[in-house]
Amino acid sequence: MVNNIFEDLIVRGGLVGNNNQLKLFRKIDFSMYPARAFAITINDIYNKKGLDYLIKLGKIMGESAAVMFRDEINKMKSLIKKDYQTIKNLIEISGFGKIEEFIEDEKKITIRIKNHSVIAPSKELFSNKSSVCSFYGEIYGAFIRIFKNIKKLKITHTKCGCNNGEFCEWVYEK
Amino acid sequence: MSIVNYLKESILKRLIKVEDGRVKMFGKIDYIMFPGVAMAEFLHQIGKDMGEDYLFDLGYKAGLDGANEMIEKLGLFANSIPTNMNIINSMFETLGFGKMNIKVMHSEDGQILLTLVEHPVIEYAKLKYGNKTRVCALYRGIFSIHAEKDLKVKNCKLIETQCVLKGDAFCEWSSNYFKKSKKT
Ligand SMILES: [Zn+2]
Ligand SMILES: [Zn+2]
Repeated sequence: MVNNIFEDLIVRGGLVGNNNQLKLFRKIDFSMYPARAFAITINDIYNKKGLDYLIKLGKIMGESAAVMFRDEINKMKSLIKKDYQTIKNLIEISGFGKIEEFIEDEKKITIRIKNHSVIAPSKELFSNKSSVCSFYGEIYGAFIRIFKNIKKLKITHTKCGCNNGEFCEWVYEK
Repeated sequence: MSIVNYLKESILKRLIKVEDGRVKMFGKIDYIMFPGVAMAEFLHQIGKDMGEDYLFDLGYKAGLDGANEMIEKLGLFANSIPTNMNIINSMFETLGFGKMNIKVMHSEDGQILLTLVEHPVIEYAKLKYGNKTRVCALYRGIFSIHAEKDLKVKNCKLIETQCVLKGDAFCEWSSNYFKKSKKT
């Protein structure tokens, strides 16, 4: 049974191969990276350049992915709704993690994530010095801003527990 | 075999499992997938702000952990060097690391020459920044440590002599092969 967005995409042919590259919707290429190694990469950058720089990089990476998906979806003329389910799915197929909960009210959006493949090893390796949550918080923020057409969001990492069966939680104030 | 057929087959053979939003190679090692364009912009910015050597270093450290994880969790690379070379080639292709061709390799002398094409991140970087970006340095770092650990190429620190980003047909990387003067 297909119950996962990756497998679903592969089975339906949404993810195809062309010239040895992995493409989504025949256009978007992917490259993979070992998750634990990415935790090491992010923490290295943090140690060298600090939190503000990491936040800047999260924004760049998140915006780049979100803008590309938005433009592709726009070309498909509303076949895909730009709702929270789409944001969740796109974040997941971009490899940025599986969002468990996405709660929206007038003033804010709360997202919760569990068992994150980069955050979990990062907490194991760097414990409370792990910086990856700040990076991912910006990535999710970029998707929310771009798909919800919001200019600015105030991001707060309200709970952090991806390494012990709990969840990480971010609140995005509109 | 195209990468997606490999991936499909890998999933069918349960080499790559997708569990609860996590992509796992052989059910044991977590991988993340990045859209090539997002990775290109991320790496370009780091290269611009901190230089090519830092990018190489980042790749080297990530590759070291990646190589160790494969050895620890999968017991890979306990084979002969030609077998390891086949594993590395197909694995990198599966991971969206482009198509690698090892042209010369003398592990004992620390000598290696290889070319790389069709790397999705390098291709996007070329489209967006042309010759003003150095994103391949990260992958050069990753390949260097894999060549050292998995292919037993002594003290492998790959240098680049041709580059897709500079308009060449492929990136050409080597260690202890050309005289230093050829480095571009
Ligand atoms: Zn956290
Ligand atoms: Zn190059």
